[in-house]
Order: sequence, then structure tokens, then C-alpha cells
Amino acid sequence: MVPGPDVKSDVVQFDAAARPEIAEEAELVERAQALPRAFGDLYDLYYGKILGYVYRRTLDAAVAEELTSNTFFKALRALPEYAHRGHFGAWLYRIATNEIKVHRRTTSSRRESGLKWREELGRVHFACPGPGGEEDAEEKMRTFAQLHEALRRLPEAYQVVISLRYFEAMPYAEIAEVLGKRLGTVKSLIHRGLERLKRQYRREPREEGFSP
Amino acid sequence: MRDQGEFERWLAQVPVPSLQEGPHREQVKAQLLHPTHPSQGNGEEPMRTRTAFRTTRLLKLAAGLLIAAVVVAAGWTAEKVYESVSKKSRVVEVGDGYHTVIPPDAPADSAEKAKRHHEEMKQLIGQKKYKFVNTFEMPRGRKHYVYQFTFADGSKGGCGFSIPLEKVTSWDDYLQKSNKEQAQLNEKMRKAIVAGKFRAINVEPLLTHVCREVDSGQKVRVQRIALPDGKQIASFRREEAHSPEYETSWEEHLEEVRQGKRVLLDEQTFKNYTYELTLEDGSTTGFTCGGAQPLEKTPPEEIARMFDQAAGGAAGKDR
Repeated sequence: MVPGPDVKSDVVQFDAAARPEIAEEAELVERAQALPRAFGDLYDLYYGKILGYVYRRTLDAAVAEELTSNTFFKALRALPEYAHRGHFGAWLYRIATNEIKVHRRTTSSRRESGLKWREELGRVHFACPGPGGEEDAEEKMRTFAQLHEALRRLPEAYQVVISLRYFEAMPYAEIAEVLGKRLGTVKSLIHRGLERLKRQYRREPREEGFSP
Repeated sequence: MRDQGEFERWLAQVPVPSLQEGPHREQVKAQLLHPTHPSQGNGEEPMRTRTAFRTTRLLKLAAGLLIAAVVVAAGWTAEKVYESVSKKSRVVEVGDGYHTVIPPDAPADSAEKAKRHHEEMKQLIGQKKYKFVNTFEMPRGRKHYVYQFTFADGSKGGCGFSIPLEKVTSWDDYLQKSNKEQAQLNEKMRKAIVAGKFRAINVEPLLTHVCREVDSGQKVRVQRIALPDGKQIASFRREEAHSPEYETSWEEHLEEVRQGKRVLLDEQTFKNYTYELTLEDGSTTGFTCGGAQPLEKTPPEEIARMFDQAAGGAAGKDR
């Protein structure tokens, strides 16, 4: 995730001149709006990020792939009406977030909160693998899965902001853009969400030997 | 964890998992960039005059989804698409009036493979061996149902269909139902036009060079397609062919004319009008027609003739 702007007020603005990647992205968006097959560049740019985000929200590879494709199909369909104001990625994250929300409404939570990640461990990797190899990855995954389970018990709004902030390392301003909320609202949501997550996490059952 | 600050610091350091990307990436990309089959008779503009029909087919062909295109175009990047403008991309029929674009750097057996996969796909539909992937909503409210097939050689490919495959018993049944649905839509569109329930949303000029190839003596029609980055594609179709056969850059076409490899016989410029129709149920749909005059000035008998022509086309091989 690219670093966000230095925001000192609730007004979020991205300066294209200061962030060349934004100007470049604007060009890609413009091109894709004129010629749908040029959408491939934007797809290449964001596929991995959106897939990762959805996976971290669902911990189900098949669901993550399905919702990721839904996200891009919807983005392509809505592209003619999309007004580029700074960060195309924020718009994609917003669509993906809605997809996750809709998916959860239509799917029993039991299905998603299972232990499917164990079966898919071979497809999962961490940015900084530890010396323990596969065992280490499993341990990290277990930690994350328990955190994920605690997070899933919070209201959706908290899940989204905490995921974006701590798992996607997204700046506050960008989270505000994704959610279409004011910066202060986002900070407040994160603060309250953290408090609830901490309480919930303490209540989560632990597997033997695990300690945060 | 004593306080929230400590918890937050711990949270920020928790390793987060990433999912290794699989074939899904390229499969979805192929579906995105080639979202529909140009000859399924269920595209955005099912009706138009002869010239515009060819032209729009061409545009759709360039962006359309074909079963084999998923295989052939796997690994394409948009950059490669643009690079290919300077080379010849072949357009081949895979069977039943379906076409695919073979990029210049595709393996030599791509066309044969695409044809084989098309035949296999027809069998797999009858055997109900497919996997539903997604519903792709076309602009203006139409839906495409995307399914994935696993072919005998182990490769996978996706294709969009205008009706869910679960509702059909075979490939022929699909064609029959799809054509029937298209005919119903055409009738609704005809009624909307007759009732004056349409509005223009775009008009664009279309240029075609009518040429003769010096080597073969064949007459070809070369359609110019402008890309937003300033590049222009020349799409070639033999006079007797139903669809474009290959592409080069427009500059390359002009250079070959200058070099005497191709003789410029004539040019044709048409206006392509796009309308939004409001159907009797209140839904809207797109309608493109090309010709000398806009729909507003087209006599009712000409409109009826256009629909009759399209109905005839839909029933034939050149869907």
C-alpha cells in the first residue's frame, strides 16, 4: 500500500504531482474507461492486493478468489461512471468490502469461520518467514486465525477499519476514502474497535501453547 | 496486555498471511478482457444495418470472450495487447460461427487447440461437466453467466453464456434457447423504437478502406479502429468473409499501400449511432445502428427491414 498524504484536517486530498503513481494511475483509469481491454493494467496492479485483502477477511481461498473476481467484474462494469479523484485502489477496496459484506449476509457464518485455513496452508505465505519453515507458518497462521475469529465477532464496521488499518497497513486518510467517511470518524471507529477487539480476543479460546 | 497501546502495537506486528496466486488470476483476467462471445447473438447490439453490424462485430470481437481465447490469451497482459498492434493477430473461427483472436506470439497450435476445446466444450455442456464461476452483468442490465470447463488436456477455460447452462440439456438446446431469448428481446426493442422510446447517447464515424491485395488479387475491407492512446488498428476482412481475419497497425496498412502491396480502391465512412431504448417493462437496453441517417429519420419500413434482417442473421450461422 502506498503511503497516504499527510492529513491534518478532515479534508482528504491526494496531490497527484507529489505522488507520481497517482498521475500514472489516473492515466491507466482514463485509458481503461475509453477501452475496456486496457483494464488489464489496473487488474494487474491490484489483483494481488485485493485477493490478499479478501483472503485476510475471509480466510477461505475459494471465497477470496470468488469475491476478488466479483470485485473486478463490478469495477469494470461501473468504470464508465467512475470519477477518478485520487486513488483507484480505494474504490476497489470499497467494492471488495461490499462484496465481503454481501457474502456474509448470504452465507452462514459457520461456513466461513471454520478451520479451512488448515487445508489451504500450502497456498499461504508470510512476508517474513521465520526460521521454523512450515511449522512456523502454521503457528503464525494459527495466531492470525484466532485474531480473525475474535475480529469476526465484532460489528462489521469495526472489522473493516481494523482490517484495513492493521492488516492492510492502510493510512487513516485512505481508509476514510475507502469507506467514504470523515477522517475523524475513521479514527474513532478504530479506537473503539480496538477496545472491543482486545476484550473479545481475551475471551477467545486458545490452543495449547499459544500466547500472544 | 496491559493497555490498549500495547495491544495495538502487538496487533500491528502480527504477521499477516497472503494467498499465493493461482490460475484464477489469468482466468479472471481473460474473462474481464474478453467478456462476451461476439457471435452468441446476445451481445449489446443485436441489431444494426449490415455495415454497422460488421463493424460492431469487429469491435466486440476484439474484446469478446471466446472459449478458446481463455487458453490462447492466458498470459496476455494489456501491454502485450498494445504491442501486438504492430504485428498481425489472426482471427480464426473455432466452430459454429464462433471466433477467437490468436495473438502473434501465441504457440503455433493455438488455433487447432482452440477449435478442439470448442468441440469439447459442446460435449461438456451436454454432460453437465462445468463449474459456474460468476455472473457478469453486462452494461444496460444484461447478464452473462460465466462457466469454467476442464478439457481433456488438463487445461481450463471459461466462457460466458447468455442463459444459465443448468437450464439447457445440450449445446443445441443452448443455441435454441439463446436465439429464442434474443428474438424476444429484438421484438421488445422493435416495439420500443416504433413507439419512439429511445434517445441517442453516442455517434461516431467509422472509416473503411476498400482495397485489393496485389499478391493474391483478393479484395479486402480494412476497418480503422482508434485506440485511446493514439494508436490505430487496421482490421482486415476479405469481401466474402463474415468476420475480421487479422489485424495490423493502421500505419502498417498505410505503409503497405504506399509500397504497392495493397491497392486502395475506395473508402467508406459511416456514422455509428448508439441509442438507449426503454423497453415496455421499463428496463433500458442499448441499440446501435450505422448508416447515413440517425434512427429519428429512419422510416418505419426501414426499421422493420433491419429487424427482419437481424432475425434472419440470428437464425443463420452468422449469429
